[in-house]
Amino acid sequence: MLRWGMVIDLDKCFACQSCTAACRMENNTPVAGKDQADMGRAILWNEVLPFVEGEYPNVHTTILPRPCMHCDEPSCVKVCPVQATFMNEEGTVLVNYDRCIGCRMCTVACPYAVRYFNWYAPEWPDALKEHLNPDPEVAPRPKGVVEKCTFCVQRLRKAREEAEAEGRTFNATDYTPACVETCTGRARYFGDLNDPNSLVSKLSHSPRAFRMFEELGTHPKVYYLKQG
Amino acid sequence: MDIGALVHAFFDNAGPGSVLFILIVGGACIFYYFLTRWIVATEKRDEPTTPEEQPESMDA
Amino acid sequence: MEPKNQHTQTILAPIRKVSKGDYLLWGALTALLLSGLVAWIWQYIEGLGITGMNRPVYWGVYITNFVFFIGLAHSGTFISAILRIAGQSWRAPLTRAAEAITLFSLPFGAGSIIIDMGRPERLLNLVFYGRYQSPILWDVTAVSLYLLSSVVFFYLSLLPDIAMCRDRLTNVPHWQHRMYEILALGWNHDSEQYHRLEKVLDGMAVFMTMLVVTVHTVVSWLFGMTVQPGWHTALIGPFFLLGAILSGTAAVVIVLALLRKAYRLEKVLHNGLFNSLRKLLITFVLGWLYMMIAEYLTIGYSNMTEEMVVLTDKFSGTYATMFWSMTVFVFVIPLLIFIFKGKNSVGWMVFASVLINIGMWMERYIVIIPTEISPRMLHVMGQGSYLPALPEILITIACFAGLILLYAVFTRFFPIIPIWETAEELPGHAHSTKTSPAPSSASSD
Ligand code: SF4
Ligand code: SF4
Repeated sequence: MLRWGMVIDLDKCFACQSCTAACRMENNTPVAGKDQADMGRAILWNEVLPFVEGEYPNVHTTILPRPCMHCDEPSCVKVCPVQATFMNEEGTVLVNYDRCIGCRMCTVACPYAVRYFNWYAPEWPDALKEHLNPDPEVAPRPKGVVEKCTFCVQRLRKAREEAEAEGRTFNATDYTPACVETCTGRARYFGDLNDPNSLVSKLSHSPRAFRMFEELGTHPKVYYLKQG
Repeated sequence: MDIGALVHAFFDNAGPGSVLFILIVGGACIFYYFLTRWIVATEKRDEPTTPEEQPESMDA
Repeated sequence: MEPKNQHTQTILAPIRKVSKGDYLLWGALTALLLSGLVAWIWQYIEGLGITGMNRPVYWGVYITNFVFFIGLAHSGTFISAILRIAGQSWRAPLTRAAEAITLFSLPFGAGSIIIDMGRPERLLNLVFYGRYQSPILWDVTAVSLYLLSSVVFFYLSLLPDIAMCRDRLTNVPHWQHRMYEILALGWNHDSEQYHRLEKVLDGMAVFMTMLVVTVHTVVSWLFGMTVQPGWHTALIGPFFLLGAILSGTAAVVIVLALLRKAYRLEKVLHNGLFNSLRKLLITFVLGWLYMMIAEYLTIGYSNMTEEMVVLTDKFSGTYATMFWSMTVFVFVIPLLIFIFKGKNSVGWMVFASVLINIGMWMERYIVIIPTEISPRMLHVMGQGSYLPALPEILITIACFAGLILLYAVFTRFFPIIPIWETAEELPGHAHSTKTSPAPSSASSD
């Protein structure tokens, strides 16, 4: 069984934000505008968060790209009353936008704050509207439901379809989320964690590997490689 | 039969929870309906005016 | 034969006429209620964006109201069920007044959840796709069962009095009389009926007590089941429950004082009742303090990083003013009043009770918001902020107005003091143990 996971090398990340941009284009997240963004209403499935420690001149900054952790024991799935958020057979945590009742229990339960709520109906400036990803799986979400990073499941579907059309067997390396493909510093790795020979699986066992809030027992499938 | 798997399936899936909810609330509705009927329905005995009761004293 | 009660005339007096003042009050309350409705429609059309909620504060005033109104609802069940089991006969005159609070505040509690939903039109998904691992489903089950049971409990204990209205109030408008006829279910004051009613109410009291404990604990588990700092504590259930009973009992004091004034019921709702409530309130206020200390000392002493962020926010940060005024409102002033001023003084009691309820609303707010403001990702995300926006304020006001409106209308059509439960004599059965009919002397300190 496949179990998709990601490794992010913090040594290589230089906070260019191209993953964030790629994610927006791939997944059609709406433009919030400055006022809304200041209120904390921006929808960013992937965020690059600066983590500043200490005071000038002894500052230590860590940059932390943060997608959904796709926890193996996800707090969000547990609390959803209608199974609108669920984990598929390959371990990816997804949201069923047609079923979500917008109770936001999952958003308060997720310790990583990666879930976003559609406060208004989504909107784009006209120029951007023409460039929306036409894939029906990322059709704009209606107002009042929750959304978050999906590891670009639509790309997985496409990769499978392609493999089938070409008459070959699907290989785990055929599928990469948009952020991984774009990453300028090549800081992101993606693949099957269950395959002991895959790159992600090897990196996830590196002595530099750690996961966020491991003590919470959520077992994230996104690993980080420590800086330095 | 694996009880553990059954319990897990109950809590994990969408649907069985609704069944339990409907059973509880629906059952309560039916129960309360018959309870009320039982209280109110006294066989038409003759006028309940005759004080068959002992004159109970008040403990003021 | 009807139950004999020397106060029947006094108790039924308010039902006879609906005065101009009533219409004025009802009109004003309806206007407030409608403004809330407009706000909700506006929110439904625009989206929850018009509220002050954001990320990470996904739950705001609506959820606070939910917890608060469900808490307020515990008054009735506490007074009529728990004290019934405990055999506290002084409670008889105030049972219905207290239960009415339960009945009329529960819908606003449950309604707050629906108002809070992003897609209220998908409410039925809960019934189609209910998933029992989610605390929300526990809530839905517990609150619906509680609402249903309270309606039944309330209605059953109202039955004999409706029958009295039917028999005595013959000069009321036709529709009103018809309503009594239908609702009385042919009650004919048969001794067997009273016997069965007592039996059922006793049985239901036990069940209602269990429900009260369950409901408010389950409400608290919406928060307690998550791993968020400040919420994830086993004490949150008992703490919420105690707070609920405290605010509920305080609400009873307010309501009793108002009823007494408005409907000249001083004879029936005598000072002794307030004195008994005063003793209960002292106990609960002290219990609340105990919970506060147990909770915050454990967190503060162990000094865990994320927990401390929330704690300092409450003690000396953004929410310090609110936190400390809450302590003063719920604990310091009321306790001083209850001990030194409250005896035989309805005015002081009401003042303290109002403070307690304001404080308890703040308490709910302070449990919910600061935890969201400081999520675990705080060190990378920065602190959130939250201020309720206009629609949230309007809807909150509307909820309170709706509660008062339902109450005011109810008291004009039904006796708010249970005539049969306070009667000196019931048909057929020894009932005297349940009552303390002497209005002036009984059950004071
Ligand atoms: S990071 Fe949050 S949203 Fe993602 S799977 Fe884990 S709990 Fe769910
Ligand atoms: S907001 Fe939607 S996805 Fe989240 S818990 Fe509620 S119904 Fe489930």
